[in-house]
Amino acid sequence: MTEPSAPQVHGVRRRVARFFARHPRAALGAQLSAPGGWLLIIYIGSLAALILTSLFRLVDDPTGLVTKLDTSIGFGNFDRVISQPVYRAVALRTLGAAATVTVIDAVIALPLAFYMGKVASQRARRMLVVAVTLPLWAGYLVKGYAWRALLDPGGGAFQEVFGHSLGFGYASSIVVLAYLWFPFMVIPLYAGFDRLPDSLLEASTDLGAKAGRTFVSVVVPQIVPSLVAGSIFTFSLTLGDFYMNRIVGGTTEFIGNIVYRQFSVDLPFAAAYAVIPIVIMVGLLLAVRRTGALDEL
Amino acid sequence: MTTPAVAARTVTKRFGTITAVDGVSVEIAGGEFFSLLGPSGSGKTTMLRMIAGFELPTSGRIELDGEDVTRQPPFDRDVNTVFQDYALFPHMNVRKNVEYGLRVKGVAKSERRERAEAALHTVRLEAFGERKPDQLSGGQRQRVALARALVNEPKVLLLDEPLGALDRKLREEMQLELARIQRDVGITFIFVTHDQGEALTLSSRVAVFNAGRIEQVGTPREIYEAPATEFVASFVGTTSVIGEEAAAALLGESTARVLRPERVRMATAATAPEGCVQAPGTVADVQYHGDGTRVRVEIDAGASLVAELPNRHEGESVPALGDRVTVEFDRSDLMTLERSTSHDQPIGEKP
Amino acid sequence: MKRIVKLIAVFATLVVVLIACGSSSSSSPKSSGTSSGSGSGKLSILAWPGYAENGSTSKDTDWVTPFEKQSGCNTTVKTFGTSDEAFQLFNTGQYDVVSASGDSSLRSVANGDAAVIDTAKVTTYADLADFLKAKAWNSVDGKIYGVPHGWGANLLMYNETAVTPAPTSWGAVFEANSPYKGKVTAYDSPIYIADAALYLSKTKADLGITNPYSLDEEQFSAAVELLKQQKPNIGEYWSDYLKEQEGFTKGSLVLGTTWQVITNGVKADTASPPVNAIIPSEGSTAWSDSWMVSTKSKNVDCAYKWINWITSPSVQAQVAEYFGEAPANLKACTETSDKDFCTTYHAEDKAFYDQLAFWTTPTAKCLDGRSDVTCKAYKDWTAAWDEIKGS
Repeated sequence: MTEPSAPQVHGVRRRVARFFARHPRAALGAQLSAPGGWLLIIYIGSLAALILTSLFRLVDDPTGLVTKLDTSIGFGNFDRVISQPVYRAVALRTLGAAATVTVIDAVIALPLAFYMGKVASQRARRMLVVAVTLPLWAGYLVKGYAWRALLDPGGGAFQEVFGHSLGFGYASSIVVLAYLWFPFMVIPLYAGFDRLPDSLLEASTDLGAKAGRTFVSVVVPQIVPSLVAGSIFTFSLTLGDFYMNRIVGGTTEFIGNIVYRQFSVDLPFAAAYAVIPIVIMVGLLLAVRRTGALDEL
Repeated sequence: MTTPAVAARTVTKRFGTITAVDGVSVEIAGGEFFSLLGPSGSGKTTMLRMIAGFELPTSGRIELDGEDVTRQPPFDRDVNTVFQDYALFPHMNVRKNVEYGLRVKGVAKSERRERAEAALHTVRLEAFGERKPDQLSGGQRQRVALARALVNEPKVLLLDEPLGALDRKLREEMQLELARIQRDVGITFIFVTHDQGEALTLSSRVAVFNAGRIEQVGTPREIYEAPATEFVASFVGTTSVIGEEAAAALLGESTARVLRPERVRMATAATAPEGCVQAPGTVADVQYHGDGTRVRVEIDAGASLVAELPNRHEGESVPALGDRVTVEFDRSDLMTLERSTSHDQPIGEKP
Repeated sequence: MKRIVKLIAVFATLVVVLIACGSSSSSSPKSSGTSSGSGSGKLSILAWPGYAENGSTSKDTDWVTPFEKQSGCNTTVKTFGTSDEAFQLFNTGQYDVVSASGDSSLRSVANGDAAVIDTAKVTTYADLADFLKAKAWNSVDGKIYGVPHGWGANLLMYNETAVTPAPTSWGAVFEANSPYKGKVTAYDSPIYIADAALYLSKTKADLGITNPYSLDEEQFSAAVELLKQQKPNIGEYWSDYLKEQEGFTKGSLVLGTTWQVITNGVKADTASPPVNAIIPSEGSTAWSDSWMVSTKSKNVDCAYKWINWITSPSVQAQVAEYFGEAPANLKACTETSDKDFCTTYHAEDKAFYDQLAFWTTPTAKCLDGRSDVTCKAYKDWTAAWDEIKGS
């Protein structure tokens, strides 16, 4: 007995297989469509939902106790974000933290990455890479609370050992965030230095330049793309962070703290405020696109 | 006696347990085109880097114009280097690259411009000043690197395999160019290469490196015609060595001799003409290479002779692998080695 | 092609799994998934930390597991830190019951999230203190929406070594040049504005504040200004009670508003400095919590079983002593290990109860009866809290 359907199915499969074999682009497209669509829904979809929500508003219902969502489009939330000094102040404070964290990380990471990429032996290099990236294996909260224990003005390690502690506040938030995102600055810089040919440095020295001159005229221009790439990480990660404030920030508030609080009270406003860092990052990415740093990411 | 432009005095360089340069002494006179020739790993580049100041010798001294510069950093030495990979600064245009050395030394802008223009003129790249290095061909980059070094008017120019990355035709052009420039500027050139043809073509003198030591220093003719050691003989040309036993059988004397391939031919007469030696043997290898064919014959006397046969007419027979042939050469073409082994007597002294 | 279909199927499964995980993870952190007991009911509890302990905080503190055994309802517990969080989570419909404070209960009722309670099914209802039943925060238009659980005041806690002389007024936390600058704490929620208003109602009579939850423009800005003045003195705000407990234990905090349960925790820690908690001369804001049932609940049976369990005398006694609050069920007073417990907490003292300012949701329609002015609604309180904390 033969099964009439079997060869038929086989035929279809063969035809499909033949089609894809002849049209490799179609095959690729078909394979990418599922993950691609998934990405589209998750990333673009959620972003679109966020922006759309930011254009809605809440209106009080007659009881005055609860509010109803009014889905007519308007820019009232953004108006409030821009016109109210406190929201400007918090946004600027967050930006200031992001910039400071980036500068701190860059200043510390540059010499370290230079040493790792250009001076250290292969063995030391590997060990340093491990040492720098090791904290990434520990959780955010673990590191946060470890720092809390260090910084605690009521008998934390700094207080006990040095007799003085930063305590909990803006400065501590910046220090801990700079610590948290440090690997994200070091690794691109290390890669950049690693790629920088030794001969360029030797050529500069050979032409009469001392170390400082070589660093400014040759190393820095070559490393700028890596520096920008690292900065994008440290800057955006700080811009989006809010929980470290709760752990070591004392009474400090960033954009994220306001968004978190407003989320359960005034969702459209929370969405509008959350758009601010996104706008900042998009602007920043467009600005650095010219430097070629995006190729480093 | 005049002071040498560059002198190395029993210079040794060790990297851990590896000895890269082993007690080398050499003197290079002003205005010379001096080549350091040798296979990779022979220590020639390390030697050059010690002259440039990138490496500190483990022992020994480096002198420039009689002054001990062993411990001087590169930026204090009046030498400039052309790097194997050119090492042009990618973020600067050609003019800025060339001006770099002058700018670092604080030369005024107008003079800087002028001298950079002149240097670019020397290497025939006047029109390329505003280009970035990645917009240039390999040969052009090579010439920018040259201009960047020359503009500083150093006493000595060091060139580290500068033509290695170029294709053959361009390399030959650049060889002529280098020779011309060296004549024009009159600066001492120290040229590192592993290409014996290049070294012989360009140099006023050649030092042949092997395993961290200099095997022989001499003019190209001396090196080629009178190789001091078996290593020089075989590295500078594909030379056949007739060992002591084979020499006894073939020549009636027990001294090892060497022979250039172009001096070996296929025997045409049945007996050896006056002053010639004939040797029967079996063809072991045949290599065709355009303007000639290289045939290796295992002669019955117990040596391997290479014959370079010019390709003349079509139809002229070329021996095939495994053929029985008789090769012939003039007794006067046999060369005697100064030393059979490399390092049994002081070497590297100026002849 | 088959592979692609498979791929899509895998992704679809992943979506389902993720969604499922998402919903369960939000209720699982403090869940006790024991499946013992008869029946196959399920119950999802949303509660203040300390109200529905299942042994995950401390092994000996567990009245959820016995409930599961007795009722056969598989129970999960999710805790919240603020009333805003409670309101928002209860609104999702994923929870069957919630322990709601006055500043979220009416919002849940108005939003249609809370169901009318059938008091006939609440076997303990008759035993609960009368002055807690059918109040403004647990009933609307005569319909009962909440079953009283317990109540207590927001106290002023201070480190007895560090703070001298001992404070007697809320002024200690509000005054501008506090000697305890950087070591003062306050509750991290918009409702804390009422604490400032309460203080002003006693210290600035010309503002005419009679109800700290019913503030017109002028009264409101006075309270907000006071809190802005307070902010530089604050070391940390707290909403997670363990955070405040840690602060007082280690000494980084020495003065601020607290709950009795936190004070109990600090006192229980032998390494802690001595602390005391008082109701200052101005009185206190306070909470009075009620259990509410979700309109979307599919486990109403288990929900009532839970309410009956948690308001039963012995469990009430346990919760009240653990948390440090007055129990709603007065029969619990005979079951407490500390026989004076109910006296200490004024559990039966209606007069004491009436002088406290219980959390309630501020609305635009003034709660104190004024009709000539609009009052600040809770949304404005949140915005003001942004302004205080963000400044």
